[in-house]
Amino acid sequence: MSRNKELSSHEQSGKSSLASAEYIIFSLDTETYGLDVLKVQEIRQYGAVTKIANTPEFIKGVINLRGLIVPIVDMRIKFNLGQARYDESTIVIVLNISNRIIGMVVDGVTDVLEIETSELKALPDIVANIDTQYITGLATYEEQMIVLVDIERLMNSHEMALIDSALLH
Amino acid sequence: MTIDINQFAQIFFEEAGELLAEAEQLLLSIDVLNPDAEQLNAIFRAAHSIKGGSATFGLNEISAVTHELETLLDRIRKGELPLQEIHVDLFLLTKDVIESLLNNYQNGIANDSALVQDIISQLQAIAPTASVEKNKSTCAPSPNREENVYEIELPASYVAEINDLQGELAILGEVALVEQKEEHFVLSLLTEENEQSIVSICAFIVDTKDLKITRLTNSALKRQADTPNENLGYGFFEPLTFSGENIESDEKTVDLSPVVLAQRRQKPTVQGKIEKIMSQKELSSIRVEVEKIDLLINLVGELIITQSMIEQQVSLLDQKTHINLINSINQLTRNTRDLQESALSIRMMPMNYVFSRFPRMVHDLSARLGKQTTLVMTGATTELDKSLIERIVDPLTHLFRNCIDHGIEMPAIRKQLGKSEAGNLTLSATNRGSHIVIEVSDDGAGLDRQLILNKALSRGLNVSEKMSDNEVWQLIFAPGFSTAEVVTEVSGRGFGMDVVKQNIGAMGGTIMVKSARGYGMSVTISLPLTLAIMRGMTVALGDNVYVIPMSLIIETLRPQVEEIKTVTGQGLMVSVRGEYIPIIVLHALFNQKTEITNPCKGVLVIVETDDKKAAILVDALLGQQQVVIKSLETHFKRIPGLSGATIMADGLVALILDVPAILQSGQHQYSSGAKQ
Amino acid sequence: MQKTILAVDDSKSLRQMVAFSLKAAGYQVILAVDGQDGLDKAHQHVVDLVLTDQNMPVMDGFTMIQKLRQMDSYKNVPILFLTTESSDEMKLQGKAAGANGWLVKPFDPERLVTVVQKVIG
Repeated sequence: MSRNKELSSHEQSGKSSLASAEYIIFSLDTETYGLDVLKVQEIRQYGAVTKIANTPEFIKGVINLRGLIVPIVDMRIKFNLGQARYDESTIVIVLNISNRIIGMVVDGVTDVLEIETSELKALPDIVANIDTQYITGLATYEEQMIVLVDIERLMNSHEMALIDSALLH
Repeated sequence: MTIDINQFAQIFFEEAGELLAEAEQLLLSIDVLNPDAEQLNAIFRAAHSIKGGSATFGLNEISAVTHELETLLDRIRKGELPLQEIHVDLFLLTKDVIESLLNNYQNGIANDSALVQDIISQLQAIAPTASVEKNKSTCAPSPNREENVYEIELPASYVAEINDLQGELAILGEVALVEQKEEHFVLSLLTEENEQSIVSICAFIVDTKDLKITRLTNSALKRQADTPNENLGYGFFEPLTFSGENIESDEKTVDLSPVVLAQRRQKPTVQGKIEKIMSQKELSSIRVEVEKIDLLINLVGELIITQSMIEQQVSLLDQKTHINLINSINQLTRNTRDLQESALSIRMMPMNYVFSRFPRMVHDLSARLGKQTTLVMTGATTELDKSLIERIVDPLTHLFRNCIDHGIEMPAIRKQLGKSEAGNLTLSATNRGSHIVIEVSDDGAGLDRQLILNKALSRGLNVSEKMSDNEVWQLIFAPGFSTAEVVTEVSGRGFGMDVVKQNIGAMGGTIMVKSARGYGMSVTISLPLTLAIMRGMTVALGDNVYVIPMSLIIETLRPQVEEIKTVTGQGLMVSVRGEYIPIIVLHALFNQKTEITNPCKGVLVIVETDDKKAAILVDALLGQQQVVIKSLETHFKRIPGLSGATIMADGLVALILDVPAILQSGQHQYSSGAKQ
Repeated sequence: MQKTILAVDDSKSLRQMVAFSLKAAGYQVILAVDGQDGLDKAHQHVVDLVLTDQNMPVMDGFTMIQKLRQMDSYKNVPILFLTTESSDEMKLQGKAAGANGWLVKPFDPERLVTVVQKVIG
């Protein structure tokens, strides 16, 4: 369900190029975020996670995704965003980042939006507990601020501890 | 009629590849000072075959290069040119060139004619002969010997003596019966000897006045040829008369005794002793894409999971009313197990695939560093899963580089030390139950304990003089660690050994080092036979289910209070039939919440790896089953203490314990959480 | 009646080529991979012509020819040897061993068939 942004000053072009991209909009606690929809494989309900010893708290463990062993991270814990609840409305966004599959726990998914690059606003110094190097920009939609996250960069970073550090460049 | 021979070209490419590999192996193993005649012949034949085949298929560049190679080899095998190390090196280089030419032909890439010309010049220049007739073929005439063919005619009355005559004449050269008619018979003899010798030999058997001996000159031979068919490329020695004249001969079976045959002059003919490196039997096999096999293995894995789900459901049914179903399920289990074994064996390949590249590498590396080495490899037929085979090459390569660069001393020094000038390297692979053990060892200088400790100290690592040798050796696996004074191009950059250890770890294996200063060093790698499927015991710990490989489990028990002892500085121990085994409190190691902290309320799983025993404390045993091993690293990362994960029948993920690693770290683990 | 040819060569590509060409010309072909194998096959079959390479492992061509000539059944069977050189010495050796003629390698299939037809029709 994709809607065009109302404030767009250009004609929407048929193909997605650097001019705009589609983002999936989700919420962590009271904050709203977006990430590149092309990185999303599917959306699942949270459940049946096997905890793994001696891993940071934000790594909930692994799940069985149709035969694949996939790690689940909880961004709310990672970025200290409110109280992490696990109930029927808790969602896992399953990401496919360069063929690595990772599940991300969020409070809810609201929409998929097409956002023009020209709409992105400059970043203030501190944005919602996430290091600005992982943020591609800010957008507003219906008076709400959306933080667009460079999810690939974030997931591959050291601090997420999702990959063996020896393999990182 | 035109026949397209190019369909056979592909076979030639494969054949040539095999011949080159065989030749390389022979070149590397040949003793330059005392070369084995049969090995020389085999190398010659390889070049000869490739020359013939490449000429047949119009691969002229290869034909030209192999022609030069063949010429040299022919001279060497005939003893006209003594074999030298420089020849071997040039031949190896030629092999490389031919290989690349073959590849280019196969892929339709043009060849670099400068390269081709260069190798030809090198081959021609390395041992120039006085007369080089470029147009004639390679058979260099032996300047000192003059061979002639004699025809020895005897009347038919001597027909009974034919065998004896052949036997005696064979001493002088090569003899054959070429004609047998009613009134006479004719033997031909190729020999250096003169007519007189022939007569004297025959004198023992026949009356010499009945002997008629004619020496054939080349011109006589030529006259005998049917037509001068040089241009036609074939010819016959005498008019063809194959009308089926049946010559009466003795019923006696002809049998030249081996003794007589052996008396023939040394001609480069090979009889039966060579061990064929490649089998002559044309084994039937087909090529299959790796992806297809991987898919097949995955599907078999899923089948096993589904089958155990069914088994579980069926086990809840009443035995009597469902006896047929139960029997069928048991049959299914057996079938699935057989299928699984079969599927896994497809992926198994002999270690030779890895081993075969080392002789050449070791040879080149030793030469480059000015060292001499001999390499002995055993266990090449031991099999290993394909994915592991590919991943073991780099670590092994690095270990060899290390041995040759740092371990083996220069020949002069070795001589001083009373060692053989050539360092001895061994590479071996053996099966040990569910593991394969690969060992790389050398008889070089061994590790320098003090040097390592000093280096570690200077890098700020936490070490002490009191550390055991084994602990000191483990330091070489620390990142960035290298005690080499000079970083050579080959090794010594220092990130080698730690990457080796990481790679081995990622394969689910372990690596151990033994060293004795002055005597040498050995590195032992232990790998699981396959990453795909194993038999495991499922255990509960808190909310989690873990799997312990059955192959490492000795027994399980619930200990009595009096069997548990606390040893200061070592933690909890359990006494089992008089032996004290350290207890590893898993929930403490994994920081896992559990109700069971008292060993007497839980279960101890006694495990044993190569050299250590331990008792792992878990909440309860759940069962035994085949598990399909899934890697954690595909989408996540390597977790210390875990060697993988698996999906249970209920769909939940269970984690597989990396027992060797746990035993290693468990040693330093104090079981502070356990109470008596 | 179909004539049978025994072809002996350690090169697989050459064996296949020879077999293909001769079979296409209407002959039955038996293949052997070296001199010893050739002898074994010679014992097992009735053969009208023998084609053999010289340089082979286990037992070379000339040795095999000598041994064939000692067998009654092969005293008169035409034997041609294949050679990459047409030097006199090679021919001498071949003749001394008991061959009836030679064929120079590399040859094309047409020449092979021509020569074979010349010998056994």
